[in-house]
Amino acid sequence: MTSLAPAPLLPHATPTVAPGPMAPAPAAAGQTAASALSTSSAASAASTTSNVSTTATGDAPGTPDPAAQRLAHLFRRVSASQVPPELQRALYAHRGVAP
Amino acid sequence: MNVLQAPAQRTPSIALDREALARDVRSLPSLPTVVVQLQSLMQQTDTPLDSFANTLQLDQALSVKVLQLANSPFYGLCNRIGSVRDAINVLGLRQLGTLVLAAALTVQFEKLHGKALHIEAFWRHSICCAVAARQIARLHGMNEPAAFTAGLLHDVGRLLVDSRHPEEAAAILAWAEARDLPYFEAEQALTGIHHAELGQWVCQHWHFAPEITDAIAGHHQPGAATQVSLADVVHVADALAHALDLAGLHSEAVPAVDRGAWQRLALTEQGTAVLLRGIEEEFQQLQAVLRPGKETT
Repeated sequence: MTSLAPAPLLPHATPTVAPGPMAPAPAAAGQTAASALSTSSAASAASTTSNVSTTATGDAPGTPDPAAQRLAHLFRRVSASQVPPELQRALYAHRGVAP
Repeated sequence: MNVLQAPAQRTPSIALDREALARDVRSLPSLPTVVVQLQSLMQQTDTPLDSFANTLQLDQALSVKVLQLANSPFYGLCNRIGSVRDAINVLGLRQLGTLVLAAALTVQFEKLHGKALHIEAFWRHSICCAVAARQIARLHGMNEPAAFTAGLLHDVGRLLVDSRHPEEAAAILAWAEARDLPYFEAEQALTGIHHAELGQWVCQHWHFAPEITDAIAGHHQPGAATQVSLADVVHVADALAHALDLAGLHSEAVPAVDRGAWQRLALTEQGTAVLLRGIEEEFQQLQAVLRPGKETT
């Protein structure tokens, strides 16, 4: 029987995406909300392994941004039409990730 | 049954009998007398302070939690409140009532806990949803204590299954995680039973107001309406709580948001940003009091 023990908790202050057996695949069909937010931003790639961005903290372009990766991960299940853009933009701003 | 070994293209069924679940609900312990009395007092429009304070003081553990919260930095009155009566004066009767309820339900939640759910993550999400629901209700002049209570209890149906049918609960959770699906989709696919409905049964058993039980029943499908409802509030609060990612689960995900509910609540980007900040701040304070030593860091 596969272990059903709860997964360890993540520290919120440093949001990360830890690839593992439960790591999700991007939505098979349709554009995810994260990718729809911007085509030239941190949110442009739903992939959790190659996300790069210029962040509010001033990191240089090309630096992997854990916050952007985590946000893309959070929005992986929903398409752009399933989540209000106001919510998504507000959340990105709240996390200091440039839209 | 090991659903994880089933072929991916087949949907296994898990036997969860509605009659058995109804019996499970009826067998749940009642809420503590002091909580029932406080609930009753909170429904009154002219609750005498003495009645409330005297009832609360019957439960020492609850009284201590109330004083801890009243003295927390959130209220800017650190270590100046020494009695329940003073706490009522500072926090207000309704807010205090909801906090008392939250503290009491912490104990009930722990009694219900089974094996599959990560109870700390479950609790953090519930607190966050309660705080979010209260703040949204405040924006619309709605019943804040009812919103808080409904938010706190919105997923209690999951606890029931987890407590009384842990193997089935574990199988549903594993099936959902293996496919990266929301829990409610997995339970619908596997059992045909929805935790929102079970939550409604639990809260009816605990004699919560119909406004609260209806909101819990409708928190995944608030439905069409012309006026904003408490189900709208809890539905959006649930989404905000997931979006804020405070439960601490890797598998966290923002759910689809009902367009009608969002529009009825008329949340703008700026208003949502203010809400997110307020929810996160209040969550941390409440978590520190209700779950000392288990705050997120």
